[in-house]
Amino acid sequence: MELISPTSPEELAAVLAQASAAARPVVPLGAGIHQHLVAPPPPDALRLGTTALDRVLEHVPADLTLTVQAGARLGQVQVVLAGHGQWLPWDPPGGAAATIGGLLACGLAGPLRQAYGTPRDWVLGARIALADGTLVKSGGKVVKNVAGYDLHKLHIGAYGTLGVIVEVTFKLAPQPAAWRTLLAESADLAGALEMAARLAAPPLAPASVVVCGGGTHYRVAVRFSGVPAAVARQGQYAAGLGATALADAAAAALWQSLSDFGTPPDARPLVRLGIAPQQRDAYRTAIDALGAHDGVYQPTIGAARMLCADLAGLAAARAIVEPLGGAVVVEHGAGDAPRWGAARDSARLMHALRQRLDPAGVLNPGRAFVD
Amino acid sequence: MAVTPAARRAGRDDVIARLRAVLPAQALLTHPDEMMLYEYDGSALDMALPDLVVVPGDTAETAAAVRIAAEAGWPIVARGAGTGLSGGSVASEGGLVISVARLDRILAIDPAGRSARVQPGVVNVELSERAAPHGLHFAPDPSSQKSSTIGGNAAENAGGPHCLKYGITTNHILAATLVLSDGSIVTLDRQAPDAPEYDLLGVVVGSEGTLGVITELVVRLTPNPERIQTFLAVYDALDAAADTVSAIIAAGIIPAALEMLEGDGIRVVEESVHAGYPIDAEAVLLIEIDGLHEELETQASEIAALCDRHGARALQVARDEEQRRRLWAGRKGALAACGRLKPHYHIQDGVVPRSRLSEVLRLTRSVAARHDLLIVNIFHAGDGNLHPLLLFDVREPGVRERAIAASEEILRACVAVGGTLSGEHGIGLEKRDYMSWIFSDADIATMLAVRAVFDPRDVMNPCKQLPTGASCGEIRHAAGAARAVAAGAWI
Ligand SMILES: Cc1cc2nc3c(=O)[nH]c(=O)nc-3n(C[C@H](O)[C@H](O)[C@H](O)COP(=O)(O)OP(=O)(O)OC[C@H]3O[C@@H](n4cnc5c(N)ncnc54)[C@H](O)[C@@H]3O)c2cc1C
Repeated sequence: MELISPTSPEELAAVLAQASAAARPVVPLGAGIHQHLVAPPPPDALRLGTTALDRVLEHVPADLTLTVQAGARLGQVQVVLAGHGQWLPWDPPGGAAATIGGLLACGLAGPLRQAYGTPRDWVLGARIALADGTLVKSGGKVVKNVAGYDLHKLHIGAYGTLGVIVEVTFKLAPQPAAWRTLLAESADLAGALEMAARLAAPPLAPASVVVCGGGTHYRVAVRFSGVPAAVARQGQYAAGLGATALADAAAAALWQSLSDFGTPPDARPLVRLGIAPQQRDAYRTAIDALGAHDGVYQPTIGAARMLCADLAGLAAARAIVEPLGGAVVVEHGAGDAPRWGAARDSARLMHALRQRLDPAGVLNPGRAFVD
Repeated sequence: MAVTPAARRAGRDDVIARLRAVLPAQALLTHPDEMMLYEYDGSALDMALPDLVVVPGDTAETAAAVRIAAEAGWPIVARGAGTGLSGGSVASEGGLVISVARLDRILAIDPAGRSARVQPGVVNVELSERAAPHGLHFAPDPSSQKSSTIGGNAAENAGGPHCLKYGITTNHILAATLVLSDGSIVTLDRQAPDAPEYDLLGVVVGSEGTLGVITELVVRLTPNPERIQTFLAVYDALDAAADTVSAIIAAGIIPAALEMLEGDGIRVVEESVHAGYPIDAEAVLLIEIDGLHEELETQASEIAALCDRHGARALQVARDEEQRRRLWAGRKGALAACGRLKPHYHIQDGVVPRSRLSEVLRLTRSVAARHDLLIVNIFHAGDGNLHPLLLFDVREPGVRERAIAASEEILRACVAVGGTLSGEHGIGLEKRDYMSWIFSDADIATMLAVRAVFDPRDVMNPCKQLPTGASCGEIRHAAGAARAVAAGAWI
């Protein structure tokens, strides 16, 4: 596959314009870490690399705002921010080396979403190269802005099927002064989920609560962030619930592995599940139905990522969550199984939107929810 | 495309007959006197009469009415409480107004899921009152919260003092049911994380009624904080207060709310509300922090040090809930109190980077002097969202034009320092033609393309928010240029 790595947004847009005119498929490519997600690109596709667009364009520490090019790697950006006691509270899989544009396009987030939400909550604006080669922006660089539609939100989790993100402005957060991680164990999923719910309930306000494991061994990891005294009090309270404190180095390694779960992939299908967090029974029974080998579960969010032996339970899991508005997506290793599941209520609008923004259908064909 | 006014007049009886067939009698308003109640909103823009008003009682009735109006080529304007400040719910092109007044029920509160299912006509503050027994509240708190609707908040992506920490409305909308202009009904549901769906909901929130009529919402409820502390910092110089705000943010402290009042505003507020603000102060900051006990202690001492370093004359902490309530009553009573200074007002809503506050505030003062106007700033300082309040008496010849010129000049300055046109009041009619100050033709064309995906007929609140170049009427300022200050109102 041919690879082009433009050195300016304009150049990147021009490549897209030509591809559209020639109806040639284009695969936007960051660091390539998540290219295995949802549908491999067609063999004749042009790979459009963003890694040469890797500059931090503007970091204003006093405003807690940052504008970066999409090819910048999240890990490197975090280093720049850390120098000012700031960060993006975002720990997606492969986040150290993956590009910001790619991570946004894949809609990835990690355990920190418990307290800090997802990038949707932190993106203030973006510049996008549309399929026809037009460069457009939405949003802005200030933390509050209602001028125009928030079109940048459309590109988060769209797998690059509506345009190529070339520049993003984020709101930043101050780094917490202290952290503490605790672990609990459970022989079954139900017990682990119960523990996770207790660790997320007031007076606790954890940064992350994650269940991991499978079969007959599950662990529940919780971490608190903030001022030292508040973190200490919550740590004590969590210990009272039966969790054990973990040393800092071990904690860092644990959270890294939880963030990176399933990345890089192995031969097993990688499945993600999402359901409204109050649907606790459906969440558990759907996971049971999938018969996961191993997984990272965020029950208080309603999210899970699992490695499964096979996809025999896929239809059953979907039958549980889809009527409740949830979804089960096979991110990798789908084989012949349907990747997305049932059409969403918005399918017609999504289809029209894709048609409108990419009439030649060149952007990541096969990765759009509606193609 | 919307039909001409003459065609609407000619077809009106037919539209009435068709609406009668699908709506209960009380849901259709046809009398000219009734139309007048729907003539304006909270902005200073010209009034316009709708051709008809419907007040549907559910999603199906709304869809039926939308279909009939759209087929007749009529503009369709959704209307909440009409408190909007940019002309969004004014039927500037005539047509059908859809009032949500009968869609006013809280359908369910789910304490475990920390969410509520509501109809769009629920008044903002009612939801927080109903959620209070569960230790929850609806975080967006626009100053109009006693009257504005949750549907209107979602349509405008409304803000409020506590949005500094908790985020604006878009962060709190989990799902919406929308009636599109072809009468179809679509639910955009993001309660489940990571669904394979484009974030259409994120576009609908803040779309000012131009993509469809919202008939139901699921909103996030936020746990009440463990503890709250409120401070009043008093300054003899405007710059010092502004610099304190910038310094608090730069230090990485995000209070729950960080509000400023300055100049003559303080004196009149104190005279009318007795909030406890020193009347000789040049500026005061209202700083609220909330969270866990230990967090508050740390933040309180850091904030005190920053206020001191930047020249605060005094820093008081609210001793109890009653004193806190009074400090906030001053902020909330500010707009009404300013009615003592002058009978009419115009509010600007620009945003600037938080590191640029003092220079822009100084500029508003010089603009005021140059245009011989009274300008008071009462605003959401923590997120750089200015609300210069231009006060005047329209009976004074030429003052209306001076106010508009001054307002525009301030807004241009906000944009020049890297800010934006509106932080929370929306674009509507008022700022539609300013959009080209910050967006290119291609940016706007893309927004219009997305609009056309939802509304190919261009009948949903046409001519609002985005300049179309189509046959939209000119934007006119109301003869009064500004609304008289209403009792109890605050910004
Ligand atoms: C004194 C005062 C103080 C204010 N303070 C604030 C503040 O602090 N923060 C802030 O953000 N705003 C503030 N506002 C502005 C205003 O209150 C908000 O914009 C509010 O969200 C509007 O709600 P509403 O129900 O009055 O909507 P309306 O004014 O009726 O409508 C506003 C817009 O929303 C659309 N709309 C309404 N309902 C629907 C629906 N169901 N479906 C689709 N579209 C719909 C309308 O078409 C229109 O474009 C203030 C206004 C006043 C008068």
